[in-house]
Amino acid sequence: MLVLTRKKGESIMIGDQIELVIVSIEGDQVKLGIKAPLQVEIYRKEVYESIQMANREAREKIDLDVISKMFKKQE
Amino acid sequence: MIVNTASFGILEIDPQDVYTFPHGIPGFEGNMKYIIVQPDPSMPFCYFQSVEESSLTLLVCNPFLFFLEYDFQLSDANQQELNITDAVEVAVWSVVTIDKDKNGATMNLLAPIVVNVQEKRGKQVILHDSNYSIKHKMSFPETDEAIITEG
Repeated sequence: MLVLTRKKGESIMIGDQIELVIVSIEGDQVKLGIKAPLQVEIYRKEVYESIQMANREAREKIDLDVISKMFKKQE
Repeated sequence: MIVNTASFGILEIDPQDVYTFPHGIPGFEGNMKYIIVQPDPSMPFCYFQSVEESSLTLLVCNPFLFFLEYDFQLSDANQQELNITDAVEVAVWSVVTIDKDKNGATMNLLAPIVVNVQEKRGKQVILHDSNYSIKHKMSFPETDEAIITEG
């Protein structure tokens, strides 16, 4: 992993279209500004991972019998 | 075209009915082609079935039926990506997770699957700065008991 040291207000360019700006630093929190083309998706990593996990879990637990029972009872 | 599925057997599908998810779905980034299977039209559920992987099936529901106040803004970038110009082109699905142990089900309201039904393009959109849950409990008022005893 490439590691660069930056100060508040400084930036990093990733390619020629994506810029990361260090907006502020307070204690152990860094506020990042991100300038990127619209089509570049930006997520907090833990949020993306939680969606991945939720989808994998949904796939594992698919159970046609339970679902059809759920709905037959509702009628 | 023929689609092999673990849950529904061998299906014959019109290629025009195949949805493309250009970036896949989180967790299944390599799977970009899906069909929608609705075994029982009277149920407000259907399945996203991968065309490429027979055992990849996701149960989805229309979230607006189960959570009337559900509401989110589709970003300009997502509208562009899906080529959406009119609301009639849009369908929204939420991935449902069955929890047999708790005899219930949850749906993912934080990451709705948004599709352009005309162009057959789809994407699971992750909402930013939203309080919606990945596991929003679904309520089936008259069915909870039935699931406990028979599920």
